[in-house]
Amino acid sequence: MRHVLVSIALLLGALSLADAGGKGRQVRYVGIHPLPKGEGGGMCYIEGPHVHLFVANKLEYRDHDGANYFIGDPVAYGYDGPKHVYKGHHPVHVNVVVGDPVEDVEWCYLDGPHYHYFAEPESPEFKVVGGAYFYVGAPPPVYVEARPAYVGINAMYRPIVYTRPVVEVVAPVGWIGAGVVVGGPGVVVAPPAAVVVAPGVHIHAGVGVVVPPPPSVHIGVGVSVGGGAVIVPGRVKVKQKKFKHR
Amino acid sequence: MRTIWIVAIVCAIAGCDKGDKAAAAGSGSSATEESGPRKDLVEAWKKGGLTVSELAPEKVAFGTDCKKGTVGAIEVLVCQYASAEESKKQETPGYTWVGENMFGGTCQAKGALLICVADRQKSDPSGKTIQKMMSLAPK
Repeated sequence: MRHVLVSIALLLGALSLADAGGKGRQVRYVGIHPLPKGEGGGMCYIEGPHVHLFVANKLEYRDHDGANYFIGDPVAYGYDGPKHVYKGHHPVHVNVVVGDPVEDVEWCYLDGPHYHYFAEPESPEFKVVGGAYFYVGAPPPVYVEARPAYVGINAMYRPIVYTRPVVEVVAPVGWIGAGVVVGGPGVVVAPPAAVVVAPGVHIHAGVGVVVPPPPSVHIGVGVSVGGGAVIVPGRVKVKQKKFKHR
Repeated sequence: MRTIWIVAIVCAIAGCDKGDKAAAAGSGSSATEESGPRKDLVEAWKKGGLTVSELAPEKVAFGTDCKKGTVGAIEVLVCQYASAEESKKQETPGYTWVGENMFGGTCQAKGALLICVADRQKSDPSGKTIQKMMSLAPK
């Protein structure tokens, strides 16, 4: 019995030594990103390509030319630099943000209002209303295909308490987060994969596109409006409020 | 007393004065970097409020004109190449110098320079100093 206990103790000792001394391999990152709690938390502000020894999680990171690129809300981790408000899902032109020639469009699946540290380059795909970016383009199949793998990010952010943006503005026509809205207030058909046939309305990749004028009710693609977003017709205002992501 | 005389005679024969200058030039201290992009880089860092040590020659496999020093507590290696294309090619090999003995590190080509940085003491966990170093580097 004593031999067994000694063996176990030796094994545990060897494992802990290996863990302490056996530094990992270089893991490539590009752009700012959160630091794991085990490493002290907070943010890493290195914008260019760089390395650490810890690995990136699957929900918040995308591969960009072999490096991990963070697509999440940096403010949730104490980021204190310049920031921009987005609402709902949208593409991220990673190569434009990091400034390299490897073209790469990834998708952010955060529901509701959130921050990024980058501003979108001007394009018809985005409308800025009330200081917030709304994606109004036609989402490609790759967005829909990858959605199940990444929407889990919302459950990950829900318990994080931090100052989120509050967007009090009528979402522009064609906003991706609008889901499907039929007629006036109170009539909502929730997506995903809903198809609506209405004059002048086109449906792409199973994601609803909205046309009717306000007042209307909007449901975020995926799960919820999220982030305590308040849409008030006629008002154009972005303010901050501390609350939990819902 | 006899030792002092011997040293003085040897110095006189060998020409200690000239030798010192030559040694200083060979050591690659930032003070003796007469001109060029590496000198500009060090000056930019200093102007930006960073504390830069003297840079001393360092032998590495991916460059023949490399100098190592510190910026604050962060280790830095600056290699000079004939062209921007050449320095860009050495970014990946540069990560061998960064190694695994660090919290964070980077190797970025800036013009004809390759700047490799390794935070071996976790003195810059937020990476703000490293980011500042890279932002201040002339392109």
